[in-house]
Amino acid sequence: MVYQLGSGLLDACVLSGVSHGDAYGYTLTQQVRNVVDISESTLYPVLRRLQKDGYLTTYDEAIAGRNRRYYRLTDSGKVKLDEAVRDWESFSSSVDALLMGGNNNE
Amino acid sequence: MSKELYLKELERCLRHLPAEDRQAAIDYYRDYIDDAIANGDGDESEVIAKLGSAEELSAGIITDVAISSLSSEESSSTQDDTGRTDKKVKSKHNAATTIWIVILAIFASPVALPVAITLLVLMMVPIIVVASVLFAFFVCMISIIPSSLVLLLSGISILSSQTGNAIVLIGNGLTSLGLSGFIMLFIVWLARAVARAFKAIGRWIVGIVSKKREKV
Repeated sequence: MVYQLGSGLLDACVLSGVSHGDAYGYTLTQQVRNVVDISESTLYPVLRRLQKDGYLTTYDEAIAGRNRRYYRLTDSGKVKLDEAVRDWESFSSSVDALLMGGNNNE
Repeated sequence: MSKELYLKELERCLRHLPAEDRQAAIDYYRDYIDDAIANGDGDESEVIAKLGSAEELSAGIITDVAISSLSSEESSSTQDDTGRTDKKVKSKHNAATTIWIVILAIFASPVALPVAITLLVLMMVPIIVVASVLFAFFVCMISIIPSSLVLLLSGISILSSQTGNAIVLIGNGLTSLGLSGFIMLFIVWLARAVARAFKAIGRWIVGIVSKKREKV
């Protein structure tokens, strides 16, 4: 595929993945990898930045004799995600109109 | 390669980073490898092969720490005027640590050694020049303040016997005290401008370095 995720859109995809609950680094990475070609290590800095900016928090849960780190959306993370979804809706419909709308100038 | 060996290697590559950043990265990738295996992505060595070598992985981590270190300082300085309580949370690294991490990012990147050294010099020259200027101003301040205090005190001591001379002395003392106040403000202003300039240079350098890394 010729299209890539910019960092804003990648942030939004990660926030959305986290909003569905029980999210940890590996599953989030695979969710995004199903859509675009990112490397296995792409999400680590993204998650860390979103956490530092206060959009995500983490909690540990015991799984099969070890602790797995889960991510959870904070209130400001929810606001950020809503904003990103609205922006995407208007952006994607503009691109749709441009790419598929044909000649509307008449 | 086994997971423990790989994580040891990663730890070695990240040994110059602040301990908190190093530990966070190691914890994350330990989790990641365990989860990949648990989700049927392959055995230890297959999962590790997908992550790439520890050197490659660490170069990316160091560059990202440099980027976030440069940007987190910016957000803390913009918040300076409004809320001081946020400052401590946001600015994770002090200026010296930031400089250090940017240097690490330069050397962790695949740019050739001469290029790395050039970038390093580019970064260090403004820092050294400005530090010298700040030092010079600081020395001026140190000499002005006591001498103006001497002027003031001697003016006051002869106030009753030679009122005219005393007023001249006191006036001079106050003038130079005021002057040193201006110099002080100037130093603060200069230091802030320098911090901004350094961050801009740092971001530019890290930008070059990380672009270079993506191409490889």
